[in-house]
Amino acid sequence: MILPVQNYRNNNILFTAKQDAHAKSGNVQEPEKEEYLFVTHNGKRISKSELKKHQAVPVDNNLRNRMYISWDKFSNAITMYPARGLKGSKNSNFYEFLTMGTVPYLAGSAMLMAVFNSANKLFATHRDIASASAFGKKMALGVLFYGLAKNFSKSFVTTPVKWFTGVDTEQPYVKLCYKLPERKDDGDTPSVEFHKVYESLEFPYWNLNYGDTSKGEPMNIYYDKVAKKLGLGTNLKDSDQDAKPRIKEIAVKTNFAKTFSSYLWAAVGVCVALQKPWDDYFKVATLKFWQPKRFIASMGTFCDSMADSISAFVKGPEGAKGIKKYAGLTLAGTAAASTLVGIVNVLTSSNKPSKLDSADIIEKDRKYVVN
Amino acid sequence: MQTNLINSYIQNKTLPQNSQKPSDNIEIVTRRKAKPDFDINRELANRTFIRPLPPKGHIINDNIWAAPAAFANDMIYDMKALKSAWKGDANDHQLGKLNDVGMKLGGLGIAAYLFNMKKTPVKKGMEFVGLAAFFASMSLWRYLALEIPAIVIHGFNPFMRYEDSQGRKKEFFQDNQYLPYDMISDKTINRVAKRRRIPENMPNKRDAVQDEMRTIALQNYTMWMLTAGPATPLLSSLICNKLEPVLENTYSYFMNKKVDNILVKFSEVQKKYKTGNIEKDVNSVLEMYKGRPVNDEILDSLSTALTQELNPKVAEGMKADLANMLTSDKFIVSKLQKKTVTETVASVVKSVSNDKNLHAEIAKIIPTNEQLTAIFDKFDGQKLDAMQLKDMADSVVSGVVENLQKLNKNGTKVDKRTVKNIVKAFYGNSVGEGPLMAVLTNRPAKVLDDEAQNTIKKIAARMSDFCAENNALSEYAFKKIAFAPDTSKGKFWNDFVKELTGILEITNEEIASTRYDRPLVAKLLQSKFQKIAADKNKYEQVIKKAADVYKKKIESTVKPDDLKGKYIKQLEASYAAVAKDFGDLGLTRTVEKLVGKNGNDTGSLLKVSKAFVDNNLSSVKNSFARFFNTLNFYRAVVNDPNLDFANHYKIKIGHDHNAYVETRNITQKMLKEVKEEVYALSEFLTVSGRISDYSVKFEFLRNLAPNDKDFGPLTFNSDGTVHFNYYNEKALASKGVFIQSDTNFFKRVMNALFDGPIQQETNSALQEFTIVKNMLEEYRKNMVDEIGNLNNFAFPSKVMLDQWNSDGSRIYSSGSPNLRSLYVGTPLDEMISNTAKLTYNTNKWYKMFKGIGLGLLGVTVLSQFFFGGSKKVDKKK
Repeated sequence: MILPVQNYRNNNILFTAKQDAHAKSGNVQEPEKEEYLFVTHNGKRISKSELKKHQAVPVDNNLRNRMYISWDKFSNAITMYPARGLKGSKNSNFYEFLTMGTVPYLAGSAMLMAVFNSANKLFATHRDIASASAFGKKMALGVLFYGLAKNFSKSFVTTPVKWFTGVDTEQPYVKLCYKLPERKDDGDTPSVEFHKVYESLEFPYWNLNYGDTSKGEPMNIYYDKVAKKLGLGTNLKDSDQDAKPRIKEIAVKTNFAKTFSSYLWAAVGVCVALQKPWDDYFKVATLKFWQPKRFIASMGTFCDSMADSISAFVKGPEGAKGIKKYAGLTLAGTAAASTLVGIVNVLTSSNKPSKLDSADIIEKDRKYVVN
Repeated sequence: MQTNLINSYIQNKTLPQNSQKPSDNIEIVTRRKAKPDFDINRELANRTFIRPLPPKGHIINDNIWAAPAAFANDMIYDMKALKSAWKGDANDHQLGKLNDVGMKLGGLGIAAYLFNMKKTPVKKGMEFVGLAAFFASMSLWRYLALEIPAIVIHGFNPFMRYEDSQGRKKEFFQDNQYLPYDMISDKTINRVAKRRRIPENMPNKRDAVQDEMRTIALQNYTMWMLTAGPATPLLSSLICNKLEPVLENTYSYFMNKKVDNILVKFSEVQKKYKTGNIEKDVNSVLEMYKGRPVNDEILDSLSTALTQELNPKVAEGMKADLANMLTSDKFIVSKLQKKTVTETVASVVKSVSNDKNLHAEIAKIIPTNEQLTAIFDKFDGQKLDAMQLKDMADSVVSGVVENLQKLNKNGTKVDKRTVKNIVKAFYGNSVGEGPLMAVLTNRPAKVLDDEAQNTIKKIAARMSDFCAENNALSEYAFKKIAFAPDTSKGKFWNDFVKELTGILEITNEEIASTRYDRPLVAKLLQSKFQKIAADKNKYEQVIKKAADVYKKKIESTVKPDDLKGKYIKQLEASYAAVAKDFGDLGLTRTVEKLVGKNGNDTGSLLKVSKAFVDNNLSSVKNSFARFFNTLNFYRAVVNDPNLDFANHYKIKIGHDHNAYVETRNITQKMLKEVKEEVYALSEFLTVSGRISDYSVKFEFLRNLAPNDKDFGPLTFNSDGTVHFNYYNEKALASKGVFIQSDTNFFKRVMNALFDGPIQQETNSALQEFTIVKNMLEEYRKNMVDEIGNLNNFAFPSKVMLDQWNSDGSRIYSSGSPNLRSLYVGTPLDEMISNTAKLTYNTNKWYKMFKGIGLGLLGVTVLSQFFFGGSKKVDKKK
């Protein structure tokens, strides 16, 4: 068994020269009150000391955590990260840059809605306003459905993959990042980042899936389960070594399938939003939930319009023939097929067991580079 | 940090003291001399053969000439990435690239779906333009708002890319904490140092410059993240708005070229329109019915198949011709019909009498086999006419009567009345009718034999050729002149009206103040026309400009000369040829349906095809002629404020070539108040009048007791508009009266508008634009002839133009309501306000988003001046 490498062991390390900071941390006079993060691991909230100790801790992949992580990332993406980026801080890292990627998505969606709606009320006649608004509202709904379909459809792939293989490709973890001091009087400025174990498929964070031996858990508790589910056998000596290549393959294929299918589902979302039956909903649409009667009626119409729009999208316009009739069905079918084919591909291993001896694995005629 | 097998081993292995000089005990194994008993541990211990390869990473200098090759390489890379991802061994960079591919694929899905749903080619095309514009905007915004300003201000591209040793293209500054500075040349460093005013002799100058570059790049990346969202949809919308007219023009250009080509190379092009469906369907009908007696069902199938690409009226003619050609009045009888005859007799007898005894004896009533054999043997296989068949039927009936009499003798009582009724039931009202005759005539003597099949095949071949020509000509006519989006006519209309709003100098504010109500637009236009007409130079200038635009636009799109000339000529030639060929084949009724009878093409397909062009063309021409005529009216008022020109009118006596025209004068002097009323009604009709106004909605409210002392001319305000001294529309709305009896009033209005002289200024301005001048003259003539004496014009007694037969009876307009509607054309206020509103809406949109866009651009570009200022650089030193 190859043991996980822990490259950060000193729990009390501080990156600051500030005296009082030292005094506060290492030789504590009074025990500090334990602080917890909002996210949980094995159903328990993660303490900051645990995070400091392990540097990275897995996080339960549940709705509550996902929502919190999304909120944390979003709030930072519109406040702290751009502030740091605009200052040119050396601590602004690639994680922050990628997290800020949400900003153009959301701002772009809002602007796209605005482009089709904001100027409508200034148009020449009520008829112009009405026709432009009818289209504008559908476009806005299209933008909304694009985002929803794109995000939710990812689970069409990841969830079955998790059921069938035991590999949660979306497994999040929380990581503590110590920032470099930017000023002389800077103390410790750790920041919390939320990553996914398989976000890098070249360097998955394998360590996080090992059991905590200090708590009596078998080291390969996770890999044993996955290996069993993948049909690699039980009571394996090195289940981690056996399972890792297959897990990596699963993660790559899942990523590929979810990416492709999610954009196709997003396209389906947009096209459903552009169907005629939505006109009925927009006549009674309201978000004023404090007027329950109207709001409930509006939501009822929303559901009816949704059902009618999906039907109109799949069946095609009345009296249409050929491609026009089947365009919607084809798009929806392609999206569904991409999901299904993607899942089947994930469940089918492309890497057959090698029949070569280890000596043959290194090709003598090739040049090699040390990583 | 992650580790792997090799690293882990290396870290834990005790290395030789001097790695440069390996111990003699260790054999150096080169890869060329690899031994069969290869030992990984030994190989790893002797690491001299494992060494980093020389780096191949370099900064990519994007240039436009290398773009196609780069694009091709990227495509190959994406394909390889796709394969690797499918197999499950893709790396992070490959998966990142596939995300972009997926995004484009999804976008294509949306565009393809919407392409299918849109109805016109330009709208369809815009779906893909929109998609391309969106993706282009993503890069364009960064390039225009950040990249170029940064290069200009800081001397380097913060979004520069590099290719790593594995051939992966990445952005250099994307990861603020992983920057392969080795790739940046000293030249770049020195340029940035100079631009950023970093001291020349500063210690660690390169470090300082690098940090400055990192800071600026990070700031640019952050700014990009913050601005790309709002900027991308904005920029793509602006691009789409600008590209839509370009796409329209491009489509129109190629569509016109293609359609014009139909007439230019007609004999070649028309072949492409041959569907082959006629011959295919006719052959399948012939195959199905060959050798069978020709009946109505076969005639229907054949005529439908032959005329499937034409008007159903032609199918009627074809069916009649085929019936004439393929059927005869003789029928063949056969022994095989005996059974049917027996069944018919039984059913007739049962239907006549309810007598159960008779029903029980039915077998004895129906003619015996011997009786029938005797009858059928006599006629078997012969072609019989109706009289002979009747004889046969009589023989059968005689047999029945004979059997009934036998039955009577044998005790079953059948009264004479019943016998009489049974005999009667066998016959119909005429010779060829009745149940028995129906059985005997179901085998017509004429069958679909080889000769008949050959004739039909000939007809099918000729019809197929003709339909190809007709389809080609229909395509030409439709694309040119149909009232549909993306036709030449549609394009011409939109372009010309758009130009017209410019020529009339209608401002956005004017549209804004009149946009809610058409009468307000009418008032605006009336005031515009009055002001233009008041100034001779301006008047001529506007007429010339409008005529010039009209001429250029219509001649480059609709090409009326081709429509009226080449198209009609080709149409007539094709129809004449097919009429001759079909005439030779004896298809006279079909020919009638195609080209008419005795030179009169009324109701024929040829006439319909010609009328399609005439009607569609005249709807456009009359609408625009109305514009020129309106201006002419306003100029006439300026030239003759006494409105004397409204008193002269023509009267037509007689019909067609016997008719002659006399000019008459209304001698009654006009009061000034009446002049104002004539002017007001004329003004309304020119700008807003519809066909309904000329027929049923002509109630103009006037003052029953006008000022009877003032006979003066109309007076004008200083800006050229007419000043009403007496006429007050608001007051008349409640107190005014519709004075039916004043026929001269209506005559003057029509004379003023359509029958008065064309003004000299109009004529001189249109000197070079014969096409417009002819159009104007034709319009005025039509309005006088067809609208002026409209039967239901207001009231029959108030017709504007007197037209009388020589016998003294009145002649009314003969034009159909549809034609008269075409003559009146589109009201100017409606025409202008539709386009003006569209322009107004677009301007409003532009105004709002141009401001946002420019603001965003300004902030983004200006932000460059605040970027940089790394702490490592102390410029004071």
